[in-house]
Amino acid sequence: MPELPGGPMAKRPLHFIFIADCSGSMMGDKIQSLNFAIDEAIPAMRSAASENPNAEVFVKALKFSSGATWHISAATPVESFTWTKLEAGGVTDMGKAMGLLAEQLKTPPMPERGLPPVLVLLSDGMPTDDFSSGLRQLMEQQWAKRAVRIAIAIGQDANHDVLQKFIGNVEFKPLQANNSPDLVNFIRWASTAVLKAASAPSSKPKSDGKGGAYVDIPTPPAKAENEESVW
Amino acid sequence: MRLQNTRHRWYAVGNSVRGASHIRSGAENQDDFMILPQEGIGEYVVATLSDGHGDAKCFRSKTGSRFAVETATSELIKFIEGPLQNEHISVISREAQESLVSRIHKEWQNKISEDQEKNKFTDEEISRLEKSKGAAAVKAVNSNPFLAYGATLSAVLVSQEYIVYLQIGDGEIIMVPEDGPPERPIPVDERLFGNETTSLSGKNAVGDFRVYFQSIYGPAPALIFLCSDGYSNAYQTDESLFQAGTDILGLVKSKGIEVLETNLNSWLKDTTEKFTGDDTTLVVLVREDLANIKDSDKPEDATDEHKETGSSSPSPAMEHNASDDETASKNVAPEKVDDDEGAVEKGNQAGKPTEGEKTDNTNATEDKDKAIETEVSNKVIEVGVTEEAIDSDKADKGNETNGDKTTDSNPVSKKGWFKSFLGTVYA
Repeated sequence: MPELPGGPMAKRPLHFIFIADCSGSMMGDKIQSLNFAIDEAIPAMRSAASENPNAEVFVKALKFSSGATWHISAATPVESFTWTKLEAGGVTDMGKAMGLLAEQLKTPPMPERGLPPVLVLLSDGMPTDDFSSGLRQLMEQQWAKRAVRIAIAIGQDANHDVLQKFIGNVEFKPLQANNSPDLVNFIRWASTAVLKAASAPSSKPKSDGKGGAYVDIPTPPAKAENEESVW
Repeated sequence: MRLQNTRHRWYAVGNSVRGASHIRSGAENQDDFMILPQEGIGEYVVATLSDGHGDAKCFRSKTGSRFAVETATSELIKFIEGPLQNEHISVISREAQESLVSRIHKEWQNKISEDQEKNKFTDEEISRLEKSKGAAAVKAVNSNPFLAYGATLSAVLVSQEYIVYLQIGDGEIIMVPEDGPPERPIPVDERLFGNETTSLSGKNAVGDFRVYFQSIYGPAPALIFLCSDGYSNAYQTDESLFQAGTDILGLVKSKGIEVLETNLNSWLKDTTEKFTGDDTTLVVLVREDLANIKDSDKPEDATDEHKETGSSSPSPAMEHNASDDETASKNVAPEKVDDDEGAVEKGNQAGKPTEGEKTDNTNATEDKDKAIETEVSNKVIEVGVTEEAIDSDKADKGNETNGDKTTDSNPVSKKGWFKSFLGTVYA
């Protein structure tokens, strides 16, 4: 039988990106919980990804404090993804993080075709740089517009306004994590339920939806019961 | 004035495979397609393809995609066979771009309205939607029932003098010229990205359609293919996708059209199982003269009055995707009509028809009309339309041959004939 006509074929790529606040206020319990939560979510993430064998999930991570840099810059297949612990210190250059993310959501390096990316922003505070400019830069990218954008507020000092602007859809609010179990649950939910929804999206008539409306985002978990709000 | 082109016949082959992910989830194949080179009728081809939306609100999209290919095919056949065929090419072009899409969309909506009359949304359909998407989704569907039937549509009509391409929603139409790289006749729709698509069910559907009318000056394209995004999404780049057109053409040139009949189904299965997981549909139109045909396999000339109608049984060419799994590849060999020799212009104004060729054109037009009349009669006999319809058709053809520009004096007979034809196929 003649082989399949055409050039290289591939499963549909899905890029999952953590955007993590490593500012000084994250020192101690918060950054430890964040590291634990992401590390602990990886097996479940792999399991969720395997439920759709026609999608190929790649994971990256970006960190920001004083400036922004890629923590895990290579798009790593989820099967081989491992977490390197983050350290905290510095200010909160969330705007620079948005700009850096925008560069990586251009095509290339993003593919011409693929599944909606999942962007998970985690922050405990207020941006100390020009967040609006960075966000504007990000939202000029087609892949950013079509991405599922989730935001998790760590502690009660997190700025919900900027997180809501990142989400860009009034139907979805930032998730509020006031303790370690909540953070673990929310990161697990983003890494599994949201990943599954993004990896097998149903085609739908075009709407005016923004941010996440292209994918049916599942209901997030409830906050952990009987847990004290310590952050 | 009619263009002078080398006459070609067109093969048409298509196949559709249920998505691997749909097999896992129990969902049905929501793609559909239809091919209409008709057995016994020659040199024009209609290919239509539709992808029903997978969103929970679009719970009747399989029906929606079937209606889409039926209405588009019907309207395109009326377009090529109706009174326009004797008009100037500029008139045909304007008609294609201004009103054809509206008619297709309106007829699609009419079919849905009829379906709603007979099959209103069931309690089960509504409660399933409410459970998965909530009351707002139910409200949306009740206020716009077309939403439940939402689907895309890609369609191509290839004739001797022009090609009409039209598209709404995702999927691809790729054209491979005889001499040149593959291209998209209709550019990428920037509004489409990720899993969102423009749709027949959209409020601005007619405006969302894109139409390209290509007058054929010089060599006609070698190959055109249409596919759903379940096929095209497997390719990482446009270049990879375009290469599929080049590769398929090369295979047909070296091995004949049979290579598609034999392999299309397995190619599509591989594509969905190994790559996209989605319903996967591909329809290929190839110029017969470019296919490697053994003499013994050449279809008979339908203009020979002693010959039987058509070269094979009609139904495989006409049936659209009827199962959730797969359909057989369809190979259609349109019948040969007398060649109309004449130089043809292409873009750079080379090879303008001479006075001699223009005269030949008049004779060729009469020959063509005679051939069509013969073919129509044969086809009518095939599907058992009444004699009244046949006589009426012949009378109309006679008027047109004599230069009578009056419109079809008995439109009912032509419509009746065509509906009977479709009715026979889909019964």
